[in-house]
Amino acid sequence: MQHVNQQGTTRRTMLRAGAAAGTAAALGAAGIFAAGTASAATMADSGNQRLPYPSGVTDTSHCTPEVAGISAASSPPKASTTPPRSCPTSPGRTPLTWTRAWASACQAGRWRTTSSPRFRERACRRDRLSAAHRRRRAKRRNRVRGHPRVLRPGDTRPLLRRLRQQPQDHPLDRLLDGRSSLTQNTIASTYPTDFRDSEQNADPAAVQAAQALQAAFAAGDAAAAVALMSYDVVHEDVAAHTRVRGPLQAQRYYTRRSDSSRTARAPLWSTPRAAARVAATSGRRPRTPPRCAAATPASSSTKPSRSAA
Amino acid sequence: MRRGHTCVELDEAVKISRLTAIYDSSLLSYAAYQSLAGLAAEAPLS
Repeated sequence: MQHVNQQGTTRRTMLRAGAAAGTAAALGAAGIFAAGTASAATMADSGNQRLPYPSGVTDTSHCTPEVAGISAASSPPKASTTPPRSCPTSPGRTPLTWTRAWASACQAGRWRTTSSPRFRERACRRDRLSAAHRRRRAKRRNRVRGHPRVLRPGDTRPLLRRLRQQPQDHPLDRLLDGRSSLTQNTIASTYPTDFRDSEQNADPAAVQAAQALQAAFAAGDAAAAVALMSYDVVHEDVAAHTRVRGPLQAQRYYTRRSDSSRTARAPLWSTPRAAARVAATSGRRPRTPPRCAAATPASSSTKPSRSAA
Repeated sequence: MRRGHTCVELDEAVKISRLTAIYDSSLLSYAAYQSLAGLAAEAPLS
C-alpha cells in the first residue's frame, strides 16, 4: 500500500509540474512538448516499478532545462539532501539536490553519456586499500546488470527509440511547398519561365508612327517629323529641359537640333561658356542659346549659322 | 550608339499629340555613359 501511495504522490507531483509547465508563459512550444514527452515516458516506465527517487522528487532527467527548473522549484525534494559524490554540479556551488544539480548540468550543456552517476571512492587516511583495489571496487559498484527498467539521468534509450522510428508527416507540411518534406506533393510551380519578350503588344499604329518618327530624326528631316504630329503637339524633352508647343516650334527645334548635331555637336541647351568652348575647338562662332534665340528674331540668329555650316 | 526612352501619344487622327523624351543618350558622350553604367555594375563573384 505504501508503494501505491508513493507512486501516486510521484504522479501528482509530475502532474503539478506539467500544469506549471502549461501555465508558464516563458516556455515555447518545444519546451511544453518536451515536458509532455518526459511525463509520458516517466510514467510508462514507472508504472510497474518504484522510482529510485524519494517521495516528492520528480524525475526530470528527460525534461528541458526550463521544465526541470519549474519542477525543482515547485516540488522541492524532501529526503534527497545528500547527493552522490560525483553529482554533476558546477564548481563553487553547494550541491543542493540531485534534481536541481542535474537541471543545472542540463543548462550548462554537460550531458553525460553514461547510464548512471559514476561512483568513485576517495582515498582517506585510514584506507589501507590500494588505488587499484579502490578502482576495482568502484567499477564493481558502477556496473549495471542487464537492461535497467528505470531511466537514469543521461539514458539515451528513449532518444534512440525515437530515432529508429519511421519519420512521420507533420500536419504543417501540407501548408508548405514540400521542399523540406519527405513526401512529394503535386504542387506545380506557376512562375512563368517565358515572358515573351519577342512579342510586341503595342498598337500597330503607334509602332508605325514611332518608326516613322525615328526614320525622320535619323534622316534629319524636321518637316517629315512634324508632318507626323498634330496641330497641338507638345514635345517635352525632360533630359534637355526643353518644352516646345505646336508644329512650328517643334520644326524649328528639330532643325536647330539636327543642324547642331551635324556640324559642331554643340547642344542647344548648353551654357554660353560651354558653347564658346565648343566653338573654340571647332573654329566656329559660338551659337546663341535657345532662350536668347527666343527673345531675338529667329531668322536672324539661325540662318547665318546654317549658311556657315 | 544612340539610346533613348521616348513616349509617343497619338490622337484620334493617328497623329502624334505628345512626345516626351525621358532619356537621350546623345546628350552625353559614350565615355560618360560607360562610367555611369559602371557605377551600377556589380563586381563579379570571385
